Amino acid sequence: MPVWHDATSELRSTGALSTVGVVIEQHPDRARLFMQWKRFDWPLLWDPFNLLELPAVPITMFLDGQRVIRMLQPKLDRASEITSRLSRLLSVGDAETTGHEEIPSPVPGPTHMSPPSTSTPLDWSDHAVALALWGGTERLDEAVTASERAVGPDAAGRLWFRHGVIARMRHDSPARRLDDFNVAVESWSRALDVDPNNYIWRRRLQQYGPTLTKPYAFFDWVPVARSDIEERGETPESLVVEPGGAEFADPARSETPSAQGPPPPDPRIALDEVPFVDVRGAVVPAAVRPGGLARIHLDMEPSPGKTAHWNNEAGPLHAWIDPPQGWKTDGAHVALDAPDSAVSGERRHVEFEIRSPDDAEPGTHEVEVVMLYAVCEDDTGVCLVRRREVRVHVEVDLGAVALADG
Amino acid sequence: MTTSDSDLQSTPPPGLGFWNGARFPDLVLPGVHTGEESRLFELGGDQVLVHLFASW
Repeated sequence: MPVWHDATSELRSTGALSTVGVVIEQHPDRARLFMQWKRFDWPLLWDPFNLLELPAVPITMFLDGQRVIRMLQPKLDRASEITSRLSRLLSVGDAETTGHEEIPSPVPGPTHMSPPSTSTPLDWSDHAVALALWGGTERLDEAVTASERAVGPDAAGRLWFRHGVIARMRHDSPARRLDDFNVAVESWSRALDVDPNNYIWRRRLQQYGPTLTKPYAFFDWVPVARSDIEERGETPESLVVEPGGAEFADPARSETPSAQGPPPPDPRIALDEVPFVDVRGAVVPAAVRPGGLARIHLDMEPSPGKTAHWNNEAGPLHAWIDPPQGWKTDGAHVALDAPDSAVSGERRHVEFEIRSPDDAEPGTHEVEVVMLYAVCEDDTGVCLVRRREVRVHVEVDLGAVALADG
Repeated sequence: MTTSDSDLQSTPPPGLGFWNGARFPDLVLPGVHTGEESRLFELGGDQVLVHLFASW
């Protein structure tokens, strides 16, 4: 895009050409920051569901005044030649204004905000997408419910992908449910299982997946962009959801040695049997082949019904990872720094990677995670340190779709 | 389109539902900067360069 932005600057300034964009990613605020960083001032639309059903991005095209595609995927190394000839390339003759096949808009419009009168999976999915796009946070529950009616054992890959996008949207909203991210990962995995050639679906999973499966660093540009923008004396656009560890990871090309940490907690420390904290794990991808890599995400937050908060004065939350025999992990121990406030109720997130052995048996394997955290009960004011044992299930499947591109 | 014009283009990825000579859909989607309903061709002018992309 920077090449085209520069090559067409004069045409834009004279009004001979406009530029518009459609961003195909989960979080639109990241695209907003990217645009600010690059000083791209053209309008941008948001299609998180890949309603255009693109197999990959980027796609660039020049359209004439009749919305007819005149040049698809123009060559970057011919940018100067193309822009110098653009008026001729995009000119419309009298005989050329009709007879062009109209590609219908794939975006569910306002009519889809009401439940469908027919009950095909696509109807329900379109209804769910319309609610998610146009209904705001308050209608995300309805969107999830509608989308659940669209997906089943034989559902098309795009419906599974959409279902994952809606679940992740709710995960990132105040209406979040603890299982939402897990649903998103499983849905995207199913989509990719249906069609492993869709690189929009694949990238959405890779975004949260193991470092070694990424073709390149996804969001390492974010801190660079913020720094550059601040140096210009501007305030960077804020992000609703900060990229997590998996999203920042530079694609490593070798195994990371296991991290050393303090020894696991004394087993005599009482378990959180209430529990005061809800914990949910998600594994990306949902299944791995023998020898395959997975990234495990754990989300934790004080249980809404138990009126407890994190006690930040007691230090960080710790997690110790104990993989099955023969499995490897990149992080035997993780410590999460607490916020500055004395107590808080935010969601906390831990990520680490595991690799199954080459001879791993197909089936379900358990990764044990021991956590140590401090909470204060609101009712009594009592503050306690509690131990928590969590088992994350990792599926080994000989037919699992490989997440890496190659 | 002349042969020389074709030489100016790369091969689109397989499965792309667009082709030269097709009329691009009149998309209505949320605007990234406004959050409001936005119509693609009300944003652009007569001749438009369209980028479909992701920031990753």
